Amino acid sequence: MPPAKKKVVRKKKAASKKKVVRRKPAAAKKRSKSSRKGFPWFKWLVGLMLLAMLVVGGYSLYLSQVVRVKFEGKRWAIPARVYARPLELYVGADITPSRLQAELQALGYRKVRKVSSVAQWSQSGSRFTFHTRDFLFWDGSEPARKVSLRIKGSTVSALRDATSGKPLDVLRLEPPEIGSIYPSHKEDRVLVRRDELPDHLVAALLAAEDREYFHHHGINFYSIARALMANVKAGRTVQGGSTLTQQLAKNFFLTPERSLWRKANEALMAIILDARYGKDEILEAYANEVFLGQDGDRAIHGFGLAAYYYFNRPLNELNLTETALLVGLLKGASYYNPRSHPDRALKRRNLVLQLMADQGFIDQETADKAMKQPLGVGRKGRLSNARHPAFIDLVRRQLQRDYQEEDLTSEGLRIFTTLDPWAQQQLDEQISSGLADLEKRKKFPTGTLQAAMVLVSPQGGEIRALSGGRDAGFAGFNRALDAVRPIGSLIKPVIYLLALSRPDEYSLVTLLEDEPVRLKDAKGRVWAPKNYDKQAHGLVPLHLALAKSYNLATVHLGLALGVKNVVSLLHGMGVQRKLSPLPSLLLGAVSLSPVEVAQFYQVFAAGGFRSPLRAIREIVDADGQPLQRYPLQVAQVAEPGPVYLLNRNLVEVMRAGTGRGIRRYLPESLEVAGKTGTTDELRDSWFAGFSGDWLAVAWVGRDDNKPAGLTGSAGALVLWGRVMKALKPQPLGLLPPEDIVYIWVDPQTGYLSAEHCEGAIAMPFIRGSEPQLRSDCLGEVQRGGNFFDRLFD
Amino acid sequence: MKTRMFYRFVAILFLLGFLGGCASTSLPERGRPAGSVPPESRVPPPESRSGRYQPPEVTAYREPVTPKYTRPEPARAVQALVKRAEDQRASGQLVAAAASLERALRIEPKNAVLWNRLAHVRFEQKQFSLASSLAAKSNAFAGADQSLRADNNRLISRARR
Repeated sequence: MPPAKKKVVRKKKAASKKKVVRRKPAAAKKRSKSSRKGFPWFKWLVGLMLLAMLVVGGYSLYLSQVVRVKFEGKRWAIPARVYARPLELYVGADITPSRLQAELQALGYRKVRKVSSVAQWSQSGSRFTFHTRDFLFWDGSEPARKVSLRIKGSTVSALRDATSGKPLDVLRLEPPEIGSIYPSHKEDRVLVRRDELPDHLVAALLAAEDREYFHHHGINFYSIARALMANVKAGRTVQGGSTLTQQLAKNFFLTPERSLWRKANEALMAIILDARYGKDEILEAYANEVFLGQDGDRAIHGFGLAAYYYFNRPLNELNLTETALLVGLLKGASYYNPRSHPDRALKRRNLVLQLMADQGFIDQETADKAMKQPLGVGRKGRLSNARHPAFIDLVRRQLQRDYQEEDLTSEGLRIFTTLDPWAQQQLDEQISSGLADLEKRKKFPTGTLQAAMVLVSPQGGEIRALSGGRDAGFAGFNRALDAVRPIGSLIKPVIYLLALSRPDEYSLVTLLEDEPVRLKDAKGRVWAPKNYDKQAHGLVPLHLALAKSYNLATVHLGLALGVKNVVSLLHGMGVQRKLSPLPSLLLGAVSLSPVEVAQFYQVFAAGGFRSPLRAIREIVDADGQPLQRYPLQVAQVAEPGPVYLLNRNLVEVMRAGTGRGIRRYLPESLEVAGKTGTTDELRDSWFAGFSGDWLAVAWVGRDDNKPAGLTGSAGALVLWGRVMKALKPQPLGLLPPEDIVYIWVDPQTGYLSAEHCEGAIAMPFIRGSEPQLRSDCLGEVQRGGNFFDRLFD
Repeated sequence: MKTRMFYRFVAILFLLGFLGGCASTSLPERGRPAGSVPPESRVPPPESRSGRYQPPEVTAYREPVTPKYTRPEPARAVQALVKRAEDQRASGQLVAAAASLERALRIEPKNAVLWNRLAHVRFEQKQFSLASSLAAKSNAFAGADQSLRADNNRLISRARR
């Protein structure tokens, strides 16, 4: 959306021109007045004065320009805020009481006995009552309302408006904020307007920092003199005489230098500020500018963000005590940091409260009561303040395709993403405990293994969670996007789908040759792949070749289908990377990132329909006006029939093939589909699979690319199983398309068989591709009558 | 008394013979003549490296539970969102209608009717290829809902025109 950005810049330029033009006539007037006088000594004096005035005037003009640029520039640079998905609540929604509690806490709602105001919740047994905040969504606002909700087991069984008692159809909670995209100077802030500054904040500011604020002209000589006296008396600096305006001016400099020249400059700038802008405007800028804490590499600026950072609530919801704490931080945000130095912070807060009482902003009784309150600063909870660097990185990359960096870090955009914080939490926990477990089993030192994982909604292609490595809080190498590794057998389902898409040539029981292969490339190098068990299995049915991940059968099949056709199907399924159609591609000599793998597995999970993976749903500007939507896109790339056959085969992988290990995590009744992948010398362990509601791709390996000693089923499947178990997935629930028929066949030969024949299995076929040859068992039935023919016709 | 015992004995013998006759005639009809060898045992059983017999590893495909082909009752929330989308569509707010339907689809991603409604909205927005794919997707979840299928197929053929 560059147009929006350009408009703002243009506005700024226009404003600057106007102001510069206005100043010129004023200076000219001064010059014409002073040139009228007659005496030579007087002329000299006037000349000198004129020179001095010119110098001072010129310098003021320069400072004035600095003030203008800083003051107006600062007010515009608001980082984009990134939100997780909003939680939708409705009768029938799957949610446990503990998860709802976590969601409410993440939004900064406070638990109370009886809900009386906004952002509070209470619980009695399975019944929750909470008062939501209003929130402006992309498609309109969700009003604040008091809600009563009942959970039975792990489903919402009743949802009502607590005030009217009427049932609610669907309730969208405000989305939790998960981060912001701040510029390279790492300043983050949430803009607050003057009218959003609570009165007790203004009172505390005046009491603690500048009691004459509304009466002076930028500097306060009385308070400077008083501070000077106090400092002389004490023999060191104990008191500052700076006004709020001076403090704001001080922030215009990027270095913390302390000199008389700097002080004079600040004073001059304060006077200019006061003359040019209104008290309220300056107060607003001050409230948004001041430094109030450090969060890793992010600097917390302004009261709006500080309220979220320390209390996880908007500024207008803070009480007197909490506000006094924030004002106390102005003296030194790290020295009085309430998280690391609670004693100092408490003392400082109480001093602010006492000053407020002394100056009559509050009565002594209120102050005493407030002083007895605990600090109330929230821990940096996992759901609430945990930032999701890997996911934010993905969002940022998607944004950078459409927006300029500057728009993202200064325009105050609000970005609504697809992140499910609860799923992300499960992912982070399982990856860190799962890897520790694998290392213990393999007797590796801690930290040897790395992992990456992607969780996607199968039908919509929304990325719901993303893990870029074992340390979820570390914003470094994002393996989910950047660990581009050979995918091994993960590619096989593409080859088998291509085969099954030719039902007149292939069905699940077509016999494939699992025999040795020797191929020479253009340079004469021999390629002779082997099966994992180093054996050739002779003629094997197609479904078994995939379930057991036989390499030789797959190479024969892929060569018969044409490697180029496999490549073009992969591209159709959303792989954008350039791929060379070499035979080794058939065994996964293709390097892709976990997110790219998730893209093409999404096609299987969605029954042949590709939806480009998305991390962003909507973007609105600072005023809540919609800028852009990333809608659900769907393109059919494979027929439902062949995809159904393939998915049944991927279920067999999990039931009887290389994915059997899943039984340690999920019950057999819960049907899931998936495929393992292992690369040469066990360097990469992959698993990609899906249930009815989740598609997940997991990779385990080492950053130094040394062998990790894990097959797909010994490594990635373990993480996949752990995560899936934690997510409590829905079964696959595959719907056979209309052209699918189930036929009894002999599994060894693929011939037609019957239910009573020993070992016969029911197999799906695309109508018309059923086997023609009859097994012996069925042949004998034939003599007695064509009962089975009638049954299957 | 003795003659009565004799008649009883003859009657039991007759009955047993009758039952035996039934049994022997019924077996060939069921296709498994007595004494014939089951086909599987004609091939030597697979042997593992330890030399012991191992049952075949192939696990049978179980016929999946056939899902009910009646249009399922959607959740109240979905009904409300569909109604909202319908109102938005009627007042020409097609983008908002699509957004409401996508929201409903997040709740019930396998609801064929929702995919069909979204296909219609996209068609109205003249996004024909997307509309056609969405209608095909609706068919994939429609089961035996013939009226919905017919509507989807009409939409697909109109979109391809």
